[in-house]
Parts: sequence; C-alpha cells; structure tokens
Amino acid sequence: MAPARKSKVHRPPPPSRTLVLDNGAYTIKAGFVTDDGIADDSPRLIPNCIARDRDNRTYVASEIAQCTDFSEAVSRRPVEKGFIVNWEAQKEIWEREFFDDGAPQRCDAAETRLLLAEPPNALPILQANCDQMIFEEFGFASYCRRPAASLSASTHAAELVLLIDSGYSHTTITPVFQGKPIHPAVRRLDVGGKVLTNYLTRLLSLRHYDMRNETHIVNEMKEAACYVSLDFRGDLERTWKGTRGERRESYLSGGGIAKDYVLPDFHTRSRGIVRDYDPAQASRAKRLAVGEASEDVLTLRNERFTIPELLFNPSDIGMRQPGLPQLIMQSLQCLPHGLWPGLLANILVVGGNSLFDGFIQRLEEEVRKLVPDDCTVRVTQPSNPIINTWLGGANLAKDARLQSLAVTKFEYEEHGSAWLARKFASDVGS
Amino acid sequence: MNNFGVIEIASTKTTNAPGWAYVPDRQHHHLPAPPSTTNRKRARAAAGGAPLSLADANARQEAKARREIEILDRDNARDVQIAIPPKPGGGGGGGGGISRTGGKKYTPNVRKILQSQKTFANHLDDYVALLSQQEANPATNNNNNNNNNGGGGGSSTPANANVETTGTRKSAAQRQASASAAVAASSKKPAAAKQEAEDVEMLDVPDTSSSQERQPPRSAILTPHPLPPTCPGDDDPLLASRLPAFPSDDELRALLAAPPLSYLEARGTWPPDTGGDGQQYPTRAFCVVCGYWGRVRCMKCGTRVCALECLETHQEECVTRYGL
Repeated sequence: MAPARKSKVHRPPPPSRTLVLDNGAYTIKAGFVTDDGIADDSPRLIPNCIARDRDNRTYVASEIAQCTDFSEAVSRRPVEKGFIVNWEAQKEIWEREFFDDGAPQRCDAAETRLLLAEPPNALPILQANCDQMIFEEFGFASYCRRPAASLSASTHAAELVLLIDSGYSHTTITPVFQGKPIHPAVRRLDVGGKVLTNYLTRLLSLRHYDMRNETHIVNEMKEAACYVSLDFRGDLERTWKGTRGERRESYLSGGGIAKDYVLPDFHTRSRGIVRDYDPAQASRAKRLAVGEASEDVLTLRNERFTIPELLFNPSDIGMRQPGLPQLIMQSLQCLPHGLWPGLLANILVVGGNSLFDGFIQRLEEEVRKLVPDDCTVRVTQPSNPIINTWLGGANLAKDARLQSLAVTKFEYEEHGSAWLARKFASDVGS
Repeated sequence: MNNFGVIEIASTKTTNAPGWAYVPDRQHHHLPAPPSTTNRKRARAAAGGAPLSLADANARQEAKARREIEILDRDNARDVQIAIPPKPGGGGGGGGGISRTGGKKYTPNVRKILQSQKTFANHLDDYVALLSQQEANPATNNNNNNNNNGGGGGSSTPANANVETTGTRKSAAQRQASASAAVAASSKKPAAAKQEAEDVEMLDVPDTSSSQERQPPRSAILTPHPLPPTCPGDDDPLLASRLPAFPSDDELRALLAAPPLSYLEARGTWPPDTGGDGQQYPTRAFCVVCGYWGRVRCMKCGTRVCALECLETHQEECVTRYGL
C-alpha cells in the first residue's frame, strides 16, 4: 500500500479503452472496447497455457499455432479450477499477448481499463492475489472484476436467467436476477472438459492404443466425435458386441453409432478425421500386415456417448455428485417457488461442453421430468457459447455503469486491497 | 509388509509440508496367513480379512475412486515441469524468472505472489484451516479482520448485521440460516449503516435501497410490464393458469444480498435425506473392459464385467496384476 500523499490531488483522466478479458482455464477470450462503444466483433481466443512438444520446444499461449506436431505435447496451465493460481505463468502469457512490443493485442496498461470475468465462489486469497497483481504489477488504470455468470446472463433478454456454464474445469449453475447472481443457490459440478478428455484418454488407453500422453489429440477427438445420447440404454445396447462368440448385427454394421477416427500422423495430416464406420475396411485392416497400413484408425463405439454422459451421471466414475439436472433442482430448492417458472423458462447454457450434439435436448428432457409439469422448461444456447461471457462483458464495457463499478488505481492505492475486495463483493450482491 | 492394522480411511485432506507428512499407504498389501490353523476360513479371519466390516470396504473403495478422480483431474498424464521460456526479443535470459531484468522492481506483494508455488489444493487447505481456526477462537476475529489482506477472514459473530455488505465468509451452519436471516437483516439496515458511518473509508456501499424506493410502490425491484391485452376467455376458470406468487421485494432483496457460498459449500453433493446411500437411484456399474453394463463380478477382485468374453480378458490382467 502506497503512503498517502496529500499533495498529489489531480487524478489521471479515465481511460478511453477497456480490455474485456474472460480468462478461462483453456482459452483466454480477449478484446477491446473503446468508450465510443466500438467493440471488437468477437474476442481473440488465446490458448491459456505454456506447452512443450516432443522436441522440447516451448510455446507460450498463441505461439501454439506454430506448433506442427502435437504428439506427446505437455502443457502448463496457470488457471486451476477456473481461478488464476500460478501468476508466474499467467504474467508471462499476459505480457506476451498484451504488453510486450509486438504483442498481438498490444495496449498500455496505464491507459486501459480492465474488465475481468471470474467464476463464482472464489477463494478470497486468490481474489486478493489477482487484485494485487493487476494494480501493483501490471498497473491498469482502472479495474473491475465481475462474476462471469452475470456478464453472460446479460446477453439474454430475460430478467431471470438460470445460467449454466460448462467449461474446462467445472460446470456451474447460477440463477441470475437482473444481472445479479443469487449466491445461496449457486452450485458447482466438478465435471468439466478436462475430466471428460482425461476419461476418454483412459478408456482409449485400456481398449485401443496407449494415449495417455496424447491429451491434445484426444481432446480433438472428443470435440469431433462425442455426443450426448438421448437414449443411453438403447445406444449402449446397439454398441455391445454380445456374449462370447456372438457378434450382434448392430455391432458389425456399426449400428449408426460407431465411427472411425483417423489419427493425425503430423506429416500428411495435422488433424484427425471422423469417418463413418466401415466394416469392410475394418476387416481389411486386420488382414493387412502392419507395415502396409497407411493410417491409424480408431473405432469409437460407446466411447462416443459415455464420455459426455458424465455431465449427467458423474456417479458413473464413482464421483459422489448429482448429475446436472438434479443439481439444477438442488439449486432451485434454495429459492422461493415464485422464481421457478421464470428460471426454468430461461435456462441459458454457455461454455464449450454445451457444444456436444444433443446436450441441449437431453438437458431439457431431464429437467422437464424433474419439475412440476406446469412449468415451461426452455433450454437455450447462444450462437457461440464459448465467447458468450466475453460478449456480455463487452456490453457492460459499452455501458456507463462500468465507471461506477470499476476501481481506479488511485483508489486502490488510497484504500488498499481489503477495501477493494469488499467493494467488489458488495457491488455484486446489492 | 503388513501395515500394522492401519486401515486407510477416506479423507479429503492433502498435505504439502516441506519436511514430512502422514500420507495414506496406497499400496495393496496381502497379509500372510498365520500358520497355526489349516482351516481356510479361519486362516482368512485371523489374517484380518473377516474383521473388516462392510464400512471399511466402502471406505477403501471410496478412497480408490477418489484417487481415480484425482488422476482424471490432472492436466498432464505425467508430472512435468515447464519452465517459462526467455522472451524472444528481450535481452538475454531471465525473462521469465523472478528477478527482473528491467529497471522496475516488484512490490513485496507481487514478489510473494510470483514466487508462490502453491496449487489450488494448497490454497483450499489454507482456507479450510483458516475457517476452522476462526471457529475455534472467534474472539481474535475482529482484529484479524482489519488487516487481513484478502478480506478473507471475515467476522462470523452473529451480532454483526452487515455481513452481506462486507462480503465476508460465515461458517456453514450459520449460512444455512442466512437466507431466512437475511430477510431480517434488511430491516436491520439502519443499524448496519450506523456501523459503517464510524469507518470513514467505507465509501463503497452505495445505498441502493433508497433509490429503488422512489419507484412506484407495487414492486420496486421488478421492471414494470404492461398487462397483456384482455381477451374474451380471460375469466374462464378452465383457461386460467396458476402461477406461484412472485416473492416480495424484501425477499428478493434478501436473496440478492445473501453472501456468496464458499468454494466447498457450492459443490454439489448427494442429498442426505433420500434413501439408501444418499442417492436417489443406485449407481450404475459398467464393464471395465468394453463399457457395457457390468452385469457380473470377477470372483477375485470384484471388478464388474459384462459377460464371459470380457471376463476372460479381464482375468488375464487380474492374475498378473495382483499375483493371485
């Protein structure tokens, strides 16, 4: 905390640009909004990691685009469970993306306002670390930390929104009323994209090849091939090979579910390809000698839908948590019944996991089974669920309200970081 | 090789002390059968197989499941250390190190944060320890509160009515009552404001309630919407739709003013009141080999498989893995 200097009374003019930052665990969503209300159409997606490939070359954040061979790539992520934990790495990434000479989105922190989205239920010490770094290290002129849920919900027209954010580290449920989260009803499911990818890695390593070091490839496979099943039992039945010696018809033909995934070899193919299952090719591949096969093909059967199923039944891997629909009910139980119809009619799903095919339909179906049948259940998804929080942040940045919500560097130096924590907490609640 | 009858119980605690720590023994040990009897069942009972109750088995299974979930939660399959690479243009090395090459110096706070190698689990443990310490001796809270860096240690004395404005943390038990208590708290607002007035620096709490009360008295918070146009069938009791009454302004304000839950409290858990193991439906079991329903158990290790073919595949591994 700087010593109070009475002599210095003039304050710098308010900054004219706002950096809107949704600092996700997997990607950072970043873009500028000027005070004239001119915003970037969409944010830049920056991988939030420092990665190292097989040849020990290191890539920081957006440099990953230069990487051509992702086999056995490992990564270090500064964000854990949605919160910035390792500031050493995060600082490096921010500096390279925003502050260094030649940075892709260069800005002068002293003339910029920062709007940062944060997940709910943060640990106070991590919030304090974040505040201190932003003012004392980066020196932003002004700064505002807002719950991601209220930013995201502001893109929806309704007054009451039940926001479900299913991201890389976890899935959170936040009822939002007039842009303010209702804190006692916030719930979290510790299943996110990372757990799903790792689970797929485990299944593939047991059943096909050892993919344990190929997180990047498996993640691409998950995004390309997995879907949420609307009829889990039926799909499982259709992908079963049968008892000993038996080969069911649906297994041999693929049953409309099996897909071939051609693994990338990083010479001719840098990304994997999903193909319809080809029974003829499968038997041919068996006959061919190993050397002749030009491509590595994995046949995905029930892996395609048992992975995203974890969002609905975490107990399938022994996790003692309710699935997403039951968790929505638990969240609603904390609220007066008068709010239920409004919330259920405006369920908004954001985050990368909502891009699985069938996710919206399955969620709507299961929630409808659990609630009183007078209630209309409507689950919607923005056109791009990944950047939706950023878009909400950009809306707020255009608004004059941000002036009163943000804290200037001068105020921070005057009042200190405990005051700052109280201010952000009260602004959100009141 | 036996671990002295110590049975690992499920715990969520992780310890990261620099010197040494108690850690659960994660290896499977097979207790040697004492040679005094030739009866197989008695030998097994004497070796400690039978005295293990079902609850112990559950605890071990739970610990195993938790370990597997922890593995699923890792970023990389193996532990890797990736050092921050030097900046491409920046003069020489040390670009990512703690020592700075440029002229500007780090403030003490920043240096502490950058040098910290704590993981999220460490921070969470610290937080839990802080909470339990506060519950143990609430008297020291108030002096802590003022110079606490993060506003993290909050006062949890029930007399303090301004909890919702300071955003501090309360204990779990008190928080359960907070939703209802906050209704009362809104009426206590003048008292809270008086407390705020003593603290000169508290510029941050805008009195939003006053501006809201200037609006029409029907509902100060809700956006007024015009009623839909009347239609001929409106009075028909068959067409009437019933909605639960919308909560009153006081209730809404109390809900919005309620403080955030802590990280652990927000975690979804199985409801305790439903039957069985706390879950409404039994958990589903799957074949570990192919992923179909796990309809039979392996007789050696109890793992679920779907049918004979997968059982054979599993038993090849099962034998080698456990040396049975």
